[in-house]
Amino acid sequence: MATDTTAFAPRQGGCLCGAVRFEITAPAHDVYHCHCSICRKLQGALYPTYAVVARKAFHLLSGADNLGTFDSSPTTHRHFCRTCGSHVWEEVERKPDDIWFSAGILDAGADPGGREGTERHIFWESRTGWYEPHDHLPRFIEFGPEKT
Amino acid sequence: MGLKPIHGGCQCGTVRYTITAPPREVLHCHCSLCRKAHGALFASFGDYPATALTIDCGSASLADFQSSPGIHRLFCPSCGCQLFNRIDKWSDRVFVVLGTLDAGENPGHAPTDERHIFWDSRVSWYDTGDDLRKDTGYGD
Repeated sequence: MATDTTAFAPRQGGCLCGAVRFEITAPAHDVYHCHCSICRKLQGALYPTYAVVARKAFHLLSGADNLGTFDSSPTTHRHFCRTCGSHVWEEVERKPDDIWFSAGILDAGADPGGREGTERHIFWESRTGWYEPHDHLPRFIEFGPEKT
Repeated sequence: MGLKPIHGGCQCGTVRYTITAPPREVLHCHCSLCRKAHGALFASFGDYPATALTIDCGSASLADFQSSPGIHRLFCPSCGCQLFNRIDKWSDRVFVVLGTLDAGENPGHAPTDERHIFWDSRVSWYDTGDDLRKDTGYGD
């Protein structure tokens, strides 16, 4: 699906304490609500939401020296604020041109863009046994089909 | 009322805990502070009696960020996982971050004791679509 990046107003986000700030200058191209046990236990949420944006459109504005990194796999690197613990973004080595940022930390609940046709629940099979959203988004085992 | 002990912890395993009594209620919070602390669209807590929680390991290493005076957000400094909220004025309670329960365990609440709070602060572009009660602010 074509995305009109010319109409996209840059938007900013950051961690809870404000030490780490970033800006995106293009819309995300995928939005995932992830139910896997690793994401649940890293961010402390039932299903953290990630927006995937081109690395060249992700600009760290402050806080580079305040980041901790946890490798949730040998090729997945999760960056969080050492002062408040907020997970800001992750890098996945098999997708070197992308940044996966935590969509919940955009200021004022801003829309990360790029949701149409991509927004989905992933690792649905790993969800908790006691809470289930009833939205109408597609639900996939693991990541679901790769985009062509 | 008792509860079969349930266990949880952060992803890296530094912090582990056990809960031995049910929560008063389960709260799904959509406020902007929780969204930023958890990097999620909402965060879910069990409001447990403080005596129900035993931190089995990692207690001394917990980092404490006060998001407002007297509101402590405790997280693992090794993996960044949010684990517990403690509120000074409610020292007999602890709010356990339910995403950290092992294997997505049920927190032990009655199904009627579960609601969304700060629903008015949720992001405009996502709605959970469930039938739980939705309160403005903390509700009552």
